[in-house]
Amino acid sequence: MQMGMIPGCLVEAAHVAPAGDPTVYRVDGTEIALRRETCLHILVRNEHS
Amino acid sequence: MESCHTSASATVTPIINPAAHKLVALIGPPNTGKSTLFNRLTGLRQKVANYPGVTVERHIGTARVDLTREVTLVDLPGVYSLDPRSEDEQVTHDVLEGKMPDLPKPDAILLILDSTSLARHLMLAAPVLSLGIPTLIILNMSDDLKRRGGSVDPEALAQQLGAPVVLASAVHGTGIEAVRSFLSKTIPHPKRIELPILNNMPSCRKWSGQMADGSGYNRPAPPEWTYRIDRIVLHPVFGPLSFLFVVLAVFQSIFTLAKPLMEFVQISIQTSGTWIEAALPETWFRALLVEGVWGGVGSVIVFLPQILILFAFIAVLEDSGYLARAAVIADRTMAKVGLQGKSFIPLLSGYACAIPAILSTRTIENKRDRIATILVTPLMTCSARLPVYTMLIAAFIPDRPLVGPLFGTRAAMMLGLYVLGFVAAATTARLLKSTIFKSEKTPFLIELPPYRIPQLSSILYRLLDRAKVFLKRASTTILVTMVLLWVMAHLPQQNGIAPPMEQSYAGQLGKAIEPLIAPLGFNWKIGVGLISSLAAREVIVGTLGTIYGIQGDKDEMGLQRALQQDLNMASAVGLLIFFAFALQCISTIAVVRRETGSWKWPAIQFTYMGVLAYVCSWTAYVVLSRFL
Repeated sequence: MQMGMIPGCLVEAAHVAPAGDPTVYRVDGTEIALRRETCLHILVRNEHS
Repeated sequence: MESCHTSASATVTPIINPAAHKLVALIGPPNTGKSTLFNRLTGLRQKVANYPGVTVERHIGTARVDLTREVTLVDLPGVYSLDPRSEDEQVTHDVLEGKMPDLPKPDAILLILDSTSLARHLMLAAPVLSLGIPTLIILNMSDDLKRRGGSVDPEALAQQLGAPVVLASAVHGTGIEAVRSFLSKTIPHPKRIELPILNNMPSCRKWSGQMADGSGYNRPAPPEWTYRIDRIVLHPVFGPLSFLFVVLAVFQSIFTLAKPLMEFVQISIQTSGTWIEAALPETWFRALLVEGVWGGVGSVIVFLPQILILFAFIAVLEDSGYLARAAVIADRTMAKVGLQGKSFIPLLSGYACAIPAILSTRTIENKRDRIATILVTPLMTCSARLPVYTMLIAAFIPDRPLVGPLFGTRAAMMLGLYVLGFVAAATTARLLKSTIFKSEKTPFLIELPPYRIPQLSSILYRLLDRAKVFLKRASTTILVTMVLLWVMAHLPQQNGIAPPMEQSYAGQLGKAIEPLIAPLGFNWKIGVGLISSLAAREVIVGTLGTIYGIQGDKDEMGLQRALQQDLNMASAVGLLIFFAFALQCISTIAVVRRETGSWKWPAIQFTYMGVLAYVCSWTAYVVLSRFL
């Protein structure tokens, strides 16, 4: 949350690590790597721009 | 009066008074350049690098603010918020609350934010300003902001936040004078402004966005180069390939590149040794100096170039921002062994030295994960093992090209030993995590900083510091052990002459443990080496240097030839494995004791690593003896 991943923000998947996990997401002007198991706790809506 | 080289001006020493503020704390999110600014202001050299979580302790220094006054600064670990989650964040929290017994509550704050992520970083301004402590806000990395086409009006931001704002670039030194001049005056208390509800992140984020917008903040363009490089570095095929390439390049160059430098050091030590021998009368003191100090300590110092080359590579990887990517690539493996990605950076820095690696585990929030990481970190191949490995590899592994002419058998063997250390650490972690350290999975989060070109001066300073640490070790722990060993090798005297090595105290000690190590294929001489290397691993090189030196072989080739007489291929591999696993380092034991708060963990660690070393070394010796 303090890193900028807050309800309503735009999340963009940038890179997937070579082993398939974790994935690097672009959030609020920064890049954060998250494991799949962590992402399961985050609800996202598909928003094609 | 003290003698001075210069004229009268030197006698007028200005009296340094404390400035308006007694203690100023540096606060900010991780990787925003707090330590770089701290180093700029104080002239100290705390470690800085381009990944979050470099600073895990508080560091105190004084900064001259003008000709006659100075102020005490405290550099703190980076935090995203003021509620602590890990041990390093707790430090920041305790200092701010004035809970540190030896440190008063800071009476001013320097809030350092990354100007390229201003809209997000301003979130930290809300809880900091609500403390009501005089605060100066520093928007760092202004050069990056400008280059990427972003801009901000510090005046407008100051107006909105009710606190002074300075735009700065700590790396290049711009804005530092402004910071100094603020420190020389009294920083005002922050004006009362409307703040968001502090524990409501969405409202804090909304507020920080409004603050940024209100100050004409233009977000910089995304770091295109970082995206481009990451497309290769994190690519499913090229990613691991480039990782492998980097690793191979490092290993080959610690052989190839270091060789001429090491030969130079070797010759200098030998030549100066011969001079001393010629200059002094033949006494026991000359023998001690030549055989014990020059032969013993000298044979360890030879490895300084190699260690510095390793550190130069590590520094480039850290400063460029590659380390955070390596953590992402390795995270899957870490997850499989049950550790989190945050354990990777301590493990990786364990390749340099276990001590800073163990300190950096403070960024791990989960206590059990942290102790598990501490317990396995010394299995990573630290630079103290490098001399031992190099010596044994040079003596027993023939040098043949392997992958083309550039990557040879010796570098491959060295790489194998490094991999062995990592595999051992990973396996042990897996065992620990599935038995005594079962814990809830904690989310893995790591911020990937943009790539930056490493600063040459920063790398050179780090190498200089490392060289100092190495030479200090050589002139304390290693020197003392060497002198002690030399004395023990010459006593008890029989009719005024030193006994044969085997009958000396040192020899007797080796003989005493010979039954224990004979199954591993080691004789009493190696035994003396093993005992002395309990102080520090690289001491064994000096010890063997001294033992053989006393026997008449002084040069490096002599040491290698002598080793070939005492060990065969099987027992040499056994010895390499023993050194890969055993915890022979007093400093590590002391640090683990301090970090875990009891003797229990270092005792467990010493025992399990010792047993592992013995069993694996024995297995390797027995198996290889059968086949070779």
